[in-house]
Amino acid sequence: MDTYVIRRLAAAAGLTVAVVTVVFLLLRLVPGDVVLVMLGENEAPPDKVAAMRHALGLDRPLVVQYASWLSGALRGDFGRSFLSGRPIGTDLAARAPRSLELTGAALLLGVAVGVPLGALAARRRGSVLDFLAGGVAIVGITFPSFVVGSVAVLLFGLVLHWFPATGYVDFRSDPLGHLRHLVLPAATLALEIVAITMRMTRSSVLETLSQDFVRTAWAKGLGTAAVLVRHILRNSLIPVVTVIGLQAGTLLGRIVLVEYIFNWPGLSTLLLSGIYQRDYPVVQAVVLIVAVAFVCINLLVDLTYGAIDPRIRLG
Amino acid sequence: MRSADLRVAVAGLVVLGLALAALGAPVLAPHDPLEMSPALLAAPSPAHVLGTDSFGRDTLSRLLFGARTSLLIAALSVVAAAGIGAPLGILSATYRGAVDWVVMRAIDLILAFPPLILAIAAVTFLGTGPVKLAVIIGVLYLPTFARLAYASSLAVVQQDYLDAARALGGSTWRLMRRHVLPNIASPLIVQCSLSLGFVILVESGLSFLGLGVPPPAATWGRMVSESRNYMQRMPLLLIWPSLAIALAIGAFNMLGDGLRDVLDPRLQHNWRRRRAVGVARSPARIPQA
Repeated sequence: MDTYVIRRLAAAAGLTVAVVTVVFLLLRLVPGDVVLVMLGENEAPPDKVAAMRHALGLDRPLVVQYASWLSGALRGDFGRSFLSGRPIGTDLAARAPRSLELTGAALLLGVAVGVPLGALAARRRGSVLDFLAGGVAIVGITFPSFVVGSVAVLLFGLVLHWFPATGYVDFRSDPLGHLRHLVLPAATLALEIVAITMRMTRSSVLETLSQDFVRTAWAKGLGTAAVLVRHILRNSLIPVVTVIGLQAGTLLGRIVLVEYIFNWPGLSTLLLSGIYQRDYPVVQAVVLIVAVAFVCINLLVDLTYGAIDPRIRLG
Repeated sequence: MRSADLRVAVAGLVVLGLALAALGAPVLAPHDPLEMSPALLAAPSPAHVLGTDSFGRDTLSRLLFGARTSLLIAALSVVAAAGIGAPLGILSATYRGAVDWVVMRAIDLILAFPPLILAIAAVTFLGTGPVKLAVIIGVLYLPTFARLAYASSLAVVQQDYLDAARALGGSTWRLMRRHVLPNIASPLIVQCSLSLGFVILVESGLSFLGLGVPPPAATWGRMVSESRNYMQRMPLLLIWPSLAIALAIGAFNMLGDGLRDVLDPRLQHNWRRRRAVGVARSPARIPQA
């Protein structure tokens, strides 16, 4: 392990501790008495209030609360949902894979469409294809996911009936139905990724096209595919990898809107129902999981980037 | 006219139009945005130019008042982000050391959360309302301004004229205000315009989830969300606010991109001099800048 990796790991560890602390403090920042806010009534019976305060651990000193919350979180024990009474950890474990699946499908689709489209647009600069790709990029960037998702539900779900408009089917009971339900939400999430990877690939490929080694590759008689894939794309993809990494943050935010629109039972719908029902421990747990996941993703991106481009490591 | 100038002009006109719509909403709107007429989900007609929603409220009036809410929050958020972020960046570039360390760690912490998740969490636990919302979104975008101001002032701080100003007895405050800030203004202005687009995205997203400015105030995000129950019968209800949001985001992004090209520091010197001697404002563009 070189110093770059160690430095990145240490920074991520420090950041994780800070993130955990901030999420812990969130519940203590609620203006007024959080127990009364959660019970949603001004004259809740005192014994109910006291029981709730005890259940949330708010009757203990702050340091003790922090220690027990931290040790619980490390073991995946986030307490029980105030409304359903189920352990929050169980719900998280059931829903996290569904959110992960949706994110993964969107990333895969976005990159699989965006990179070739960008490379082709650069190769045939000024063509109809280039123009169309530019249009897709503008739509992907200016229209927010919740607009794209709503229009997709209306157009492909309710009017054309190509795909089920919303909902979720378990993969084990109906694999095909599961995939059909995945198409619209994944495509909605992917549109912005397509737009951004497409634009980045295009400008990066355009830059590489004018390099001497590309001229050499043509000159020694290589075929179009060989030059495009082996010489141009390989040298153009570093900025594309970075830009995909930078997209992680907005992707984790946009998935909340997309899961909500398509009724996808992932982490975000758990987060939102927690918010609407003032089930604050659930909200805290989901925010913590997502933020820690984000710190890990950023760490991975940094490490990957350092591995691809040795110059970064000296920075 | 260069293409950057043209883009700035077109985007600027759209932004101006949106601002006028927002400011003039009480005069321009044909109806009260909360007034419920008996015509529910009406198609466009002379009485209701863009139709009505499920409560019989006039869509055009709600769009205009929605522009007011969205642009007000967007402007306040960007003022908060630039107003806190830029001074922090300049301060840490000037003092370095401990100040720099604390500011940069605070920024890392903000950036450790996905923006929309942080906004949702903050709104849930701190409550909502226009000013709170603007401060929350402002904090979200403060890191961009702080880092930008930091990077650009670092170059300025090392210049000889700053040493000269200090030798003449200028206080640190005066140096930052009179010498550093004007020299880093261009990138900050570009960032303001780009941020307005992002902020509208976040604000309308929160509004869509029911976490923005509380009802019954009209917001574009809530209009999209409310239209979803009726979109099969009245797709127009979904289309209008969607177009408004996209128009605003597109215009601010285009304005920012255009301004970046126009205010490019590599062109600026040339541009100022030519203006000073009265030559037409058309600096030769540096090839592939």
